[in-house]
Amino acid sequence: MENNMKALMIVVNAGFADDIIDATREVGVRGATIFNARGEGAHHKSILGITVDTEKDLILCVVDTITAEKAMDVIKEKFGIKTPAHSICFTMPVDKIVGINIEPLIYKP
Amino acid sequence: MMINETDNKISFLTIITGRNKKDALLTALLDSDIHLINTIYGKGTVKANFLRNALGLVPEENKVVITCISTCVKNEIVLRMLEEKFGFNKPNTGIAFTAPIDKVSY
Repeated sequence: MENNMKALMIVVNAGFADDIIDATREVGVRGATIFNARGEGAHHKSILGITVDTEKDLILCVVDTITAEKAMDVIKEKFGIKTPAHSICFTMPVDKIVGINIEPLIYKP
Repeated sequence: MMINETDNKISFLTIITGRNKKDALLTALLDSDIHLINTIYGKGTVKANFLRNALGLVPEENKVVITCISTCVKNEIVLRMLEEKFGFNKPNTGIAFTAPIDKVSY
């Protein structure tokens, strides 16, 4: 169960999750889990008291260190903080893992 | 109260599997004396058949993400239980991993 895997977490504006999944597949990410969330930041946007533009998608995937770095480069380049996707991603170290085949897979469309 | 890393190493356990296993998993976790459990629904990235998707026959959030904070020893027992009881060592059943945590305050 010991490994050099990373848990890659991507926070992105809602609606861009599928595009990010497609882009990361090309660098070897096999699968991910997406969940919905509400963002809260320093700049609170609201119209007539209704909060707008805070819906986010969280993407969680477990990948090896090299693939995680490749995925982060792709995300930064195509969906970075200056793009409409406004994504932020980070990795967390993984101690132990079960249920995953750790051989990297290169996506072929 | 604060638990330091040196007192008893703790880690953050994340389990991702199908929603149909949620109840059984929660029962098993509680039986294993694991607490601080959170459940989130999510969706996988496997593309479903186009027609089923168009007809709305594919459940939107078909995955469950269960997270909990516990000691490394307990988490290791849970990981073993997931392999033996829930078949996580077989493909397409689920994954689980632990990430280290420095400190917990409660």
